[in-house]
Amino acid sequence: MKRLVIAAMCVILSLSAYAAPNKVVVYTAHEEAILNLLAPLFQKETGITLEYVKLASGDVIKRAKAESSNPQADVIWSIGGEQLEANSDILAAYTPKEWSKINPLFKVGTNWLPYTGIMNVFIINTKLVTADKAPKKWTDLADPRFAKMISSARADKSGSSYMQLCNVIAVYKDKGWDIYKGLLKNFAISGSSGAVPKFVNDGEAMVGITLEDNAYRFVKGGGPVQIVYPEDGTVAAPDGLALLKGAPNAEAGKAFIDWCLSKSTQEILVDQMFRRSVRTDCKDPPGLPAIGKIKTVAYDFAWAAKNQGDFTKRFQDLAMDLGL
Amino acid sequence: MSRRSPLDVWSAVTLAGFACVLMFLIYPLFDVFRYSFIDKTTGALSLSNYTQFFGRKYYINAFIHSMFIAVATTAFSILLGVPLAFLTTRYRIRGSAMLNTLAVLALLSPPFIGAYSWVTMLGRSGFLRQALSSIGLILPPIYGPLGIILADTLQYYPFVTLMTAGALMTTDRSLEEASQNLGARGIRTFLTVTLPLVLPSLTGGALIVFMMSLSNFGTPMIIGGNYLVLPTLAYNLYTSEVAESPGMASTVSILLMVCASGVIALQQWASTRRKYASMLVNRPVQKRLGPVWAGPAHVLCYLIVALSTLPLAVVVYYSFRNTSGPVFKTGYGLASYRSIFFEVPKTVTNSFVYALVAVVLIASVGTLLGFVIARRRRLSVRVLDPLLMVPYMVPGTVLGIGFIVAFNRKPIYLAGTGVIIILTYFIRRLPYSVRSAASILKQIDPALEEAGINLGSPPGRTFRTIALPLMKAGIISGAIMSWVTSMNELSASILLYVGKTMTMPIKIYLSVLDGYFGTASAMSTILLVVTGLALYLVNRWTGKAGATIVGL
Repeated sequence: MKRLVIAAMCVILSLSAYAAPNKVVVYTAHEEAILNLLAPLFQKETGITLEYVKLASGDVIKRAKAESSNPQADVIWSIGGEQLEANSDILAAYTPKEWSKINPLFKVGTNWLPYTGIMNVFIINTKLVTADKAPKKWTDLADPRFAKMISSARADKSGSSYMQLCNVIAVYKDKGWDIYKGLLKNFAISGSSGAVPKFVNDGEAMVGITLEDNAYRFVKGGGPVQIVYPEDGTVAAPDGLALLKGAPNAEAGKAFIDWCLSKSTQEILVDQMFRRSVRTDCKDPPGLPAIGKIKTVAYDFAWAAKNQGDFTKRFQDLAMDLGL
Repeated sequence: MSRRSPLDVWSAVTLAGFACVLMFLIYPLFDVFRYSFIDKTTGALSLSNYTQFFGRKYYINAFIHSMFIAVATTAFSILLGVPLAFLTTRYRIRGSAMLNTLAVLALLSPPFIGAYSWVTMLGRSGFLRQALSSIGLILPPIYGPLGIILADTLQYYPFVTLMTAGALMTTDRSLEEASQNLGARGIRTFLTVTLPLVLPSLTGGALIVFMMSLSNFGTPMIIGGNYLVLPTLAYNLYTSEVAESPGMASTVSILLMVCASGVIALQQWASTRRKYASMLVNRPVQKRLGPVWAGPAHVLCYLIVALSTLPLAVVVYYSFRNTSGPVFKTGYGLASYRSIFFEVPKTVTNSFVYALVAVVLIASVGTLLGFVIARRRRLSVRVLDPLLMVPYMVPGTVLGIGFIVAFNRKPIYLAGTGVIIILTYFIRRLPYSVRSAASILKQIDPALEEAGINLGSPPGRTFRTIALPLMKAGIISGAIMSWVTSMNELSASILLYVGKTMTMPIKIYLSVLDGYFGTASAMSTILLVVTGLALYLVNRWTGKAGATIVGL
C-alpha cells in the first residue's frame, strides 16, 4: 500500500510539473458550438495552444476576481460588455493591430474591446404559439397566456439576461420595472441562457428570451421555431474581449485577441455562427435582417455597469417574492 | 479498547486523519464560513444572516423543499434498493450479474444528463408522455418535486443496493437458520434477524443517498422548474454577480451542514444501538425460489433495473441521432461524436488519471481511518469521526470556492493544476471509503484481531494479516463507489478546471448547458463505455471478492 501511495505522489508531481510553453488560457462564456469550431482553428492557424474554461459570464468575472492576486488566465473572451466595464480594474488595456477597422459605434469600453454585436430577441415555438398569438413586444410577454411558459435565465447570473432586463428599462424608463415584474411572473427559469432556445425548440416552453445567434442556430437547424424582434425596441451591443492584468502569457493573449478580431475569424463568426461583426468590412449574417431594419434602442454601457449592483438587488427581491 | 502505548501506529493514523481534515477541509472552508457570521452592511460580527434566513419565506421554503426531496428520495431508494439486494444475493435470479452491472451503471451517468433524459421522456412534449397520453394516461408534470425525486431515486438507489448486498453476503447463515428452525417464516426471519444484522450497512447506504440528494444541484437545476432547493439556492447566491460577500450563501451552506449532521447522528445512533458481529465462517448461500415466487421476484428485479437504465438508454440513443446544429434530425450517424473529437483524448485521459490517483489515495487513507473508527473508540477518534463526515455535507460549489481562494495564495499555489482537482475528489469522496470500511468491520467480531494481538502480533501486522483480508470486499466496494462518483464529480471541479484539466463531466455539463444534447449524449456514452469497461477489468483482476460486490 505504501508503494501505491508513493506511486500516486509521483503522478501528482509529474502532473503539476507539466507546463505547455506556447499557450493562451482563456475564460469564456461562448457557446459550445463556437468553441468546438474556433478552438481547433486557432491552434491550427497560429500554432498556439488554446486552453479555454467555459463558464457563465457571471462566473467568469467571479473567478477572474478570485484569482486576481495570481491570475491563471490571459484573456476573457465573449462575455457581456457591462460586466467587463464594471470590473475594468482587473483588465489590461490593449490596442489590437486592426483597431482602425473596428466600427467606432462599438468602441465604448474601458480596458476591453468589442468582439461581436449581439441582440436580444424572442424565440417562439410555432407549434405551440400561432402567428396571431405570438408576442410582438416586451409588454406582450406579461400576458397570462404565457404563464410559466417563457424560458429565460436569471438576470443576476446570466450576462444576456441582465441585458434583457436593462433592455426593458431602457425602453420603458420609469415604468420599466413594473413591466419587467409582469414578465418575471411568467418565467420558467433556465439554468443558462444558452439552453433557452433548446427548451422552446423541444416544446417545453412557448417563448424564450435569448440572443439572436443562439436562436438562429435552431431556426437554421430546422426546428419548429421562429425569431421575433421586439417592436418596442431591442438592444444591440457588443460583447467583449479583454486582456487580464498580470496575464501569465500576455503575448500569446494579444495574438489571440488579434486573431479574434481578424477579418477571417469575424467572417467565420458571421457565416457559421450568425453573429454580427464589429468590423466595418464584414457583411450581416446570411438569412438575418440588416441591422438597420430592426428597431434598436441605445444602450449606455456606463449606465448598465454602474447600476448593476442596484438592479441585481432589485431583481433578486422581485424573484424572491415570486419564489423563483 | 487499546491496551498498548498511546503512540502506536493507530495514533499516527488518527493524527494523519486530523491533518487531512485540517488541511483540505477546515483551512479552505474557514473563510467561506466566516462570512455567514458577518453582517453584510456593517461588516461586524453578527447573526443577521441567520435572522434574515428564518425571516424570509423564500429561504424557508427552499429549506423545506430540500428536506422533503432528500427524505422522499431516501425512502424510495430503500424501497427499491433493499428488495433488489436481498433477492439477488439470497436467491438465484437469472441474469443477476447483468442486473447488478446495469444498476451500477445508473450511478455512472452524470446527474445533469440523467435529468435531461427524463425531460426528453416526460417533459411537456416528451415522447413517453405523448405515448402514454395517447392511451389515455395523463401524467403529472415532471418539472418540480416529483421529477427531482424520480430522477434522484433512480440514480441513487444503487448505493443502498450495493451496501446492503455487501452486508447480506457477510452475515452468518446460522443465525437465520436458527430462526427458521425455531419456526419463524421467511418474512419474519428477514424482519427480526436479517434486517437488524444488515442495518448498519443499509442505513450507511441510505445516508449516502440522503446526502447525495440533499447536495445534488444538477437534477433540480434541470427539472426542478421553479422549485428551489438549498443547493440551487446556494449556487445562485454564490454565482450571482453582485452579491460579493458570500454571507447568505455561506449561511445556507452552514444550515445544509447542520441538517446533514443531524441525519448522520441519527444513522450512527441507529447502527450502533445494537451490536452484532460475526466470524465470517458461515456465509449465506443462494437458494432457489419456489415456482410461485420466482415469477414476481424476477419481474420486480428487472423492473427496478429497467427503470433506472432507461435514462442511459435514451442518452446512448440520442448520441447516434443525426443533428443539424443543436436540432435533432431523422436518421442516425456519428455527427455528435465528430464534433467533440478535438476534446475526447484530453478529457478521457484527465478523468481517468485524476479519478485513479484520487481513488488510490481514498482507498488507502479511508481504509486505515475506517479501521480506527470501527475499532478505537477513544476521545480523539470520537471527534475525528463526525469531522470525516463533513465533506458529505459541504456542497461541491462551496468547497470549490474555498479551494480557489485557499490554494491560490501563499504558501500553496495549486490553482490550474490537476492536483487541486484530485484533492477535491479525495476529500469529497473520502467518507465513502471510511464508511464502507468501518461498516464492514462493525460486522466482524474483533475477537479475530484480538486473537492475533494476544499471540504477540504488533498492531500493524494484525491489521495487515487479519483485518485487511476480512475487509477486502468492503474496501473494494468503497473504492469502486469513490471511483465512480469521482469520475462524475462536477460541482467542485467546474469551478476549478482550466482548459488543460477539463474532465468528461465538465464537457458534458457545458454541452447540456447550451442545449447541445447530441454532443452531451455522445460524451456521456463515451464516459459510460469507458467506466463500464474499467469496472469489468477491475473485477477480472481482483477476482471474486470484487465480483460479488459489484456483480460483474
